[in-house]
Amino acid sequence: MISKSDDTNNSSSESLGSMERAVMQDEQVQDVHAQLMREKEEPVEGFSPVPIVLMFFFAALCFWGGVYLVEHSGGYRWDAYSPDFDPTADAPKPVEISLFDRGAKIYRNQCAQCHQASGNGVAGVYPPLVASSWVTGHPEVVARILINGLNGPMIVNGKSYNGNMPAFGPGGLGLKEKDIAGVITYIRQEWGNAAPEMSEQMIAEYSSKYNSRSTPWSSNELKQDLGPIPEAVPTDDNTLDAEETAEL
Amino acid sequence: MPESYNYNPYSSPSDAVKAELSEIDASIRAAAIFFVISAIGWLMLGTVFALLAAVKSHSPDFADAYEFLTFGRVRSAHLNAMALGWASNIIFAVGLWIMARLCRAPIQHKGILLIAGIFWNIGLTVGVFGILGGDMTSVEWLEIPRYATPLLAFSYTLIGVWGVIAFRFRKGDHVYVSQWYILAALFWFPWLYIVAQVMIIWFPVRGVVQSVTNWWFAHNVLGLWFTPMALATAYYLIPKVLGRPIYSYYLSVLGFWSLAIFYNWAGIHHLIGGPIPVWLISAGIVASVMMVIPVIVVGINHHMSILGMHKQVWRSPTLRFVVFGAISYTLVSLIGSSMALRTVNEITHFTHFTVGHAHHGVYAFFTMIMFGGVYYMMPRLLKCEWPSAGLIKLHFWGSAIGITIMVVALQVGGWIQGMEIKNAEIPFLEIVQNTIPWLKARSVSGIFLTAGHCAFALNFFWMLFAAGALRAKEGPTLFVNKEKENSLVL
Repeated sequence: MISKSDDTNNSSSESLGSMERAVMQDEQVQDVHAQLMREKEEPVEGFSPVPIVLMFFFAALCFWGGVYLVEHSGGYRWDAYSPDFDPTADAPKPVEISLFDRGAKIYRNQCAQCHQASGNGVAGVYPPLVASSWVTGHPEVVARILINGLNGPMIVNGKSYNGNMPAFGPGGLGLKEKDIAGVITYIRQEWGNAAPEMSEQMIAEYSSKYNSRSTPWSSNELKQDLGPIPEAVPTDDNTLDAEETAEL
Repeated sequence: MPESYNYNPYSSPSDAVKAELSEIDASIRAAAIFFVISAIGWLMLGTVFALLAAVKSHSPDFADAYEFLTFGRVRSAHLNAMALGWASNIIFAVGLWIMARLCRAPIQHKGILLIAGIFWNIGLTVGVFGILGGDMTSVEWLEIPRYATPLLAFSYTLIGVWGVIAFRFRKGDHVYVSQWYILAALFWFPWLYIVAQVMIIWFPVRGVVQSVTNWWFAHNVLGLWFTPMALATAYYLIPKVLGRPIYSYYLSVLGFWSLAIFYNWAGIHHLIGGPIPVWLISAGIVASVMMVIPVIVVGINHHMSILGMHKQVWRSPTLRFVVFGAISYTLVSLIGSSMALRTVNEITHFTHFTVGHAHHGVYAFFTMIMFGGVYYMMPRLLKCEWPSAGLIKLHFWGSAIGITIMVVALQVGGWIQGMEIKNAEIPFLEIVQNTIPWLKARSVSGIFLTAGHCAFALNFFWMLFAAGALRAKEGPTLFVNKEKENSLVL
């Protein structure tokens, strides 16, 4: 234990005042200080390096965390509650507009300047589409006109016209096949016309046939070498209708 | 004793530091003793509430004559008495004392600290009586009625600010790891408490955001208030008692920042399966698993620091408690991380497993370390030694055996309960009846804990009131025979 004799600290206490010296020599105070003196130094830290294995383990853990979040975060949507929610599976499908509506839009933008919104054309130059057998007749005819264009005189409903119909196929203004199918469907069914629609499948066939042709058609050529009229492929709507009727 | 040893405190730099420490101890003495007395008072009261609630859960007819003793109120009174009464008071005592010591800055206006402490306890008394009187809110962990909470928030500010002020006027260049934890927690707690009060009680936000806020708060009280304070205490006491440095500064840094980054997210795992956007829950799960990083880092740091000195650890009352708590920290956190995984959570959610886990963390980890802190701090404040090593031993074994029984019983029973709930063939009432043996085991564990707490309180008040008589005693109170005691320097 700590020695309490005066001799041991004589030298150092010379620098202190007599009051302090008296205090330091007091037995009770020494007792109290013994506890404090027994205390170890205030804590410090060593600088051992972090084990490298640990860093690999933590890196793996972080990687797992990233994968888990990607797999189970539901695309960060507020309305996804299931951990297995797949944001891509349930994405809303683009709204499918009918060929007719698609065609109506194309017609307004591309055709109505010449053939007019009413489809009546301009006398002597742009032939009418209303009740025209060129339009409502064999689908291949109207497809040829759209894809390659038409030059020179033609007779429609007994009246003569002489204008330039531009090509809308890849060799001309480059409308998509779907748009060509749409616009043909539109003109064959609007204004009281009642011909069957031009399906995408049909226009695809005509395109492969005529895309390579570089010159516009003349009215005489149009009615030559026509293929058979393809049977109308029943659409989903038709089958649904059929089923519904059957149930009724 | 070396020849050159001189007990004039001004004669060597290290002795000068010790003289300074004595001055700091004196500056915080009155407030710290008040906080410890309050903490022990709340601990005993909370223990009574806990025993009542434990017995009621298997024998519902027990003490049901009075409305204020019904399970719902007693359970919430227990939670608040322990979390805000025992835990927070002991944090104010031990945490502020360690902070002041490490900053080597005495508490300047100790009177304000003491008065704020008195108001904290008045607010809490009003709150706990409010709960028993039927005024509790319906929000877990925030049950204290709104007429008491502003006083709590206000008095906390006047208490916590002293830690920040001590840090502001610190001496020395190096900031020790305990100081980081304490300084951060002193800011984290008011942030949590005020945000949760405002968003849930005062200006309630809409719908599920309330429950998100609720579990963000409730889990963070454990992780960003209790945990950093207990870790700070362990980081201070282990090297202090053993007289050797903490193993690695780099591990300390990694442990602190990974806790600071990840913990705040973890609470949302309480809402797995709830109507919360799934990304939020997944983020909570990932953060809970990431908590493995700070836990392993702190575990290694503590383990390497005591490596080879297990005998000293076992002999020192302080370290026996602290090391028990530090080991529990590793265990409870790894269990907690796995409980956050969806597959495990599907079984443990809504069972006694969670209750066992909560006590594992707050008691086996936090409370045990804080007991160790009190055993080290009080002799320095009162300038005397603990009167009875036997009572400390009784305290340790009562607490250690009690909490072990409780955690094992609730987690095994809770796991079985969870498996049965998932099985649609078993009627619900049968499942409830199957939990009864495990709940009885919990009540038995409560008896052990109560015995430990009584020994602790008895030893403490004996020391407090007989301080003068105990002063002459030489050498620390240790778990060794008298003849061996002299050979040990501690």
